[in-house]
Amino acid sequence: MLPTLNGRLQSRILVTAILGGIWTLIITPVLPTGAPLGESYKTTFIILLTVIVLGVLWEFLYHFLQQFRWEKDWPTSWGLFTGINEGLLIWLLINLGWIPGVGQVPGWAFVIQFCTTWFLIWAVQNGPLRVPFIRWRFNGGRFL
Amino acid sequence: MSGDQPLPQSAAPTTEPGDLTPELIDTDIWTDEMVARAGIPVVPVPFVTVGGGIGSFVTVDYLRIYGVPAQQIVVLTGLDVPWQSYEYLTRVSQIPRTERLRSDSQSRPDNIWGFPSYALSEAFAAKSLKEFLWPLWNVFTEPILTNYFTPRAGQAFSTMEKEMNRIGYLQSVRKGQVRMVRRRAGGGYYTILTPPAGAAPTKRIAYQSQYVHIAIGYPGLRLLKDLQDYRERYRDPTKVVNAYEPHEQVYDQLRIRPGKVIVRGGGIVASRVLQRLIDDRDKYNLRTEILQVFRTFYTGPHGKNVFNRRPGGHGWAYQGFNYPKSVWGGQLKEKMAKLEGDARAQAYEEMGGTNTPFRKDWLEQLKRGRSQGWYREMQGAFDSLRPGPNGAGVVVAMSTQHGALEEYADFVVDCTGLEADIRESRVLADLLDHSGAGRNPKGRLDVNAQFEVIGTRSRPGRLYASGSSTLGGPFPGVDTFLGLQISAQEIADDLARLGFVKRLGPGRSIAQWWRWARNRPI
Amino acid sequence: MKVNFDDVPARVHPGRHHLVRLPGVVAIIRTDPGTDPDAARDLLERIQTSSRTAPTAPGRDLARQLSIWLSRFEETNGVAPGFGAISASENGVAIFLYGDISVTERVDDAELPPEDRVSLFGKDAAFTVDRLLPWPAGALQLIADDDADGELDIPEHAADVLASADGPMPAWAGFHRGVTPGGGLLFGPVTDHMSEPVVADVPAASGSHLAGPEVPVPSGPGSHGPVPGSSATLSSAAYDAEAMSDGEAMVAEPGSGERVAEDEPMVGGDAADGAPASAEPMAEAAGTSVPPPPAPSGAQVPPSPAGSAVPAPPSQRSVVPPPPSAGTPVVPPAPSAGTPVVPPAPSASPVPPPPSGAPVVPPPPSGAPVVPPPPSAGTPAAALAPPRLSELIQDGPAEPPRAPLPPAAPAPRQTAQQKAAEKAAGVKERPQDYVQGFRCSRKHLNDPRVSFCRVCGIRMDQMTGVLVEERRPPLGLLVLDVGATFVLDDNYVLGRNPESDAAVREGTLRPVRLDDTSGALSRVHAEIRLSGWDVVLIDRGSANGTYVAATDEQSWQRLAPNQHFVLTPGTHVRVGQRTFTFESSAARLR
Repeated sequence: MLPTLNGRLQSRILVTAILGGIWTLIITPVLPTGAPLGESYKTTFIILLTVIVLGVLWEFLYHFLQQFRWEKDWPTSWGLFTGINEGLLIWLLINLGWIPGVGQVPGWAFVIQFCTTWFLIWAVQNGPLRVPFIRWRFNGGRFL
Repeated sequence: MSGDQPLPQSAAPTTEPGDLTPELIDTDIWTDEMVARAGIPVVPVPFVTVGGGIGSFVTVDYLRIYGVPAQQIVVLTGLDVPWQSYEYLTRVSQIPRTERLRSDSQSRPDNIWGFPSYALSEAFAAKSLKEFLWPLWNVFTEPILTNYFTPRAGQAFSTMEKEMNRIGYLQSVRKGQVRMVRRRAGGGYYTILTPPAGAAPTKRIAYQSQYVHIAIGYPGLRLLKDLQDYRERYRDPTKVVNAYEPHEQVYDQLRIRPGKVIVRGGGIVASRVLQRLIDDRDKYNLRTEILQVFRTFYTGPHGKNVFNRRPGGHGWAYQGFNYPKSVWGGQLKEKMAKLEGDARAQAYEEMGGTNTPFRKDWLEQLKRGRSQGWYREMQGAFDSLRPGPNGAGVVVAMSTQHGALEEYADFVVDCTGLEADIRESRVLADLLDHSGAGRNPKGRLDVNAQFEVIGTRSRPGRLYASGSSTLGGPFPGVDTFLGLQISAQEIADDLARLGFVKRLGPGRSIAQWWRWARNRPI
Repeated sequence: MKVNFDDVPARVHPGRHHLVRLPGVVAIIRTDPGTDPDAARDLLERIQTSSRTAPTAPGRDLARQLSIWLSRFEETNGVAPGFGAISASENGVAIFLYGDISVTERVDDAELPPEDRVSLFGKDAAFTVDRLLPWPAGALQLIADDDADGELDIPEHAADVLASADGPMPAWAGFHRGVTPGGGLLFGPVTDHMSEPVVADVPAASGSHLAGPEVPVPSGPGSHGPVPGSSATLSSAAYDAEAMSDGEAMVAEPGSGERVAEDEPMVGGDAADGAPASAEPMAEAAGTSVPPPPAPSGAQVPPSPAGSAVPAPPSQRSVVPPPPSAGTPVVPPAPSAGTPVVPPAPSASPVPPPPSGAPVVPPPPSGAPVVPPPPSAGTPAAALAPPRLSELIQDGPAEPPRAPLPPAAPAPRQTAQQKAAEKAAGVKERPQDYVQGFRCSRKHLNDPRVSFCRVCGIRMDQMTGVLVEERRPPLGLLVLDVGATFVLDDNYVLGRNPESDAAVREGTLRPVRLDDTSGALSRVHAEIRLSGWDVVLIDRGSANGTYVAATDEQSWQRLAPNQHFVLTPGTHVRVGQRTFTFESSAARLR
């Protein structure tokens, strides 16, 4: 899928929200958060929201960087590797306390949630997502 | 008897019943009575596709998956299987079934979803761990650590064959040559087919349909003038060949004794021919020498600004696929769709130029050749060719920046060739003349974003066209596998809007994919 | 004699100096540090002026101009670059040298002893070297002397050149006109053929790779020097010679070296422009600028000895008389690279002209046998060189190059009168030469089954084809295991001694003699027939059989005698110990 800016943003928002949301629902109970379930859900969903919001900003950066390439594309693997910088930023922000509504988050819980969610979104976006949505890849990633 | 006169048993000046009458030929819009008067039998069918190649196949595939029953589709073609011309051209230009095409891993003409990709399929069909991991690694790291993954020609053809059988394509095929497509008074179109001699009681058959799709492909090559002149003048089919024709004798002779080959061109075919020459040279320990002549010589990365830089070097321009990747759904696709007229032509120019994919192993070969002195490249344009002294070889006179030079070679392989104008095809010429079709900024058939041929609407019917005869339209990548699928999807969605078929939503799409995965017929 | 200066080939060798070629002049201008750059420009202008004013014989004028310029220059400025020019004069060449430039004649020891060769050195002169000479026998090497003692390191064989992987490729390009970087050039030899000699110069030229100034072969567009040409010609010639010496007596006629390919049988009257058996006077090494008049009868008579026109310098420099074979239709195997051509019987022209296959029967010499021109009056009789037999290139003297035949134009259609004339002359009509085919949109005749036109490439299977009947074009070619090729435009019979076949004697089949020492090849082994658009192989009841194998198959399949087997492209055929492959460029999709 060769994205346009619009498409990137749509994909990021919709896929992360929907797929990420479902996955977060499933995984939160098993995370080693050390906090009651309600608390955990609140934390994980806020983190998910942060991923989306910050992600939109990151997408602008990625789009700009891709302009330097003739093919205007991105190796598939990089979609996975950008999880590293995004994750690190979020971890940093959590520890600085700049994310509203999120207190101390145990390291492992965060790592598991983030990595699994990121990997899942990456795998689905580069694979089966085109089965239900046949026009998505030809429209630069736009759903609408 | 000899000379120009056709033999009496063909093309009679007086028309017999069942053939086109002058009245039909001259009238733009036909009525049912006119056709009946001419005695041409009429076959009504809702959807007709002309061409029978990969373009038609992909469109029929989409329609069948969307839900059109096979009886409502007719394919008019002279080919036996959809990939017949394509396989012939790739074979003679040195891409046999075991070699890889220049096509993306996710462009699968047999699979409208693009999932699983060719790489995944190849990995899961692997017999060893290495064969399993390599394609996955390749698509994971392309194009940074590895070249772009491309499928083997054989994989493309065998999967197409499987899908062709699954959708029952061959039942819809009617053999013959299409002579013209005309509008029908009252809506729809007439498509005139000339069946093979003796196959039908009349000379022509008319298919009356609401929707027609034309995908007849390239009207053939037009070999460059100097090559044609040489052929007509010296009648020598052995030394100066074009890479799009069978030219095994060049390789046969090089195996027997050393020779020098001049290769003209800088595109994918030239790089394939070089690869063959060098592979043979290595395998049989030959002393072949190669001189490559480029008309445009790229010495390095080139492009109009820092955002449009394409790599290049030693005369070649490198690009992974026939077009920059973003034409198939990315920024270039969006950009081109908004341009019109000259701006669009200009955008095509910037994207264009002959180029070839960057392949490490092949570039290593060239590097080795340069350092050992048996491979040279230069910039030049051929002026003329003539047989060499004593009938041996060819002398090529060319203009370079150093003046007029001559080179002697044993063989000249011409890897260039212009595409003929669309008027060379009678069907397209007829569309331009009688059915209101027009030309786009690049001179080919003018289509809109839904691939309807602008100007030919015969309400409530539609005339669509896809493939290389529509190059220059709002979608840039028409003559590629994925491009044909994009066109087919647009056409299918347009037909869904018109009510011919139901639009494929997410639920049905998943169900159809599941059928595909289990290879169940539709 | 009149030689067209501009038709003499010039081959460029790599280097860093300027080489100039203009009508009537070839020149070299040195680029050394310390010389005045404007000087080179001035020189070039002088040369251009001379060439423009008298393009056919600028020699004298050029010498005068250059002398005047040089004197003025030395008076005022100082260091002029070395330069040299060979230009055409009325009766030969004018050589003008200044500085470290030399002109030497490269020719075989056997032809001309060293002391009689042209050998001029600019640095030996007090001022300039300024000579008028007749056309030399060999090639003139005009180079910038960069070695201390003027000796060039010349490898023994071209093979050594190829083997030295680190040097630049030898330049064999034909330099036609312009200015180009280079270290020197090889001008000539002057013969009456127009294009670059392929084989002839091999022994002489094999040594002309200049060792230096070493210029690494650049690869960018701007830095391409003279285009090095092919040294594969040498080896290919060598292989050919070997092939010939195998005894596969493919006889090539001098002058018929160029194939006349798929010419339709020509009526005598039509032969004017395409006569295959045009006279090919291998006259004295001097060439003529006009191709010799075609002699449809195949008689090959050298022009009247141009001895009168030859200014005779010391007797032994008189040009070597042409090999006596030059005029006869028969010549021992010649190292033509791959497609020897022999007109079967140069009797009256109605017999179809030589195909580019090589029927092997040396036709009986018809026409006047060649008479070497008598030595020019007044000179002691030059020793007649013995007739040249072709030998392995490494060891023997070179075969002098032969002029190519004029190109075959497409045959005009026969009118009814021509047909009647043909019939009256006894030409057997061969109705099978006509086939039915489809015309492409540009009127080229094609097999009805192909999808793309064989001449122009346009698609053919989307049009309704209208059958026309015309003469059949050639249907592909056979590639023999030794590399010779036969274009299939006629019916052939193959064997050890195919002339013994009755059909050959009648003239309906062409013989192809294959040599096979194993004895597995019969005298009349197999036939190749053209039937419609198909090529058919027929075994003629040979003792050991004819075998065929498709491209990918490993196993041979024996043909039943007299069974018609249609050949498909890529099929291998084995007769006795010899194999050949049938190739065709017909665009059949199926």
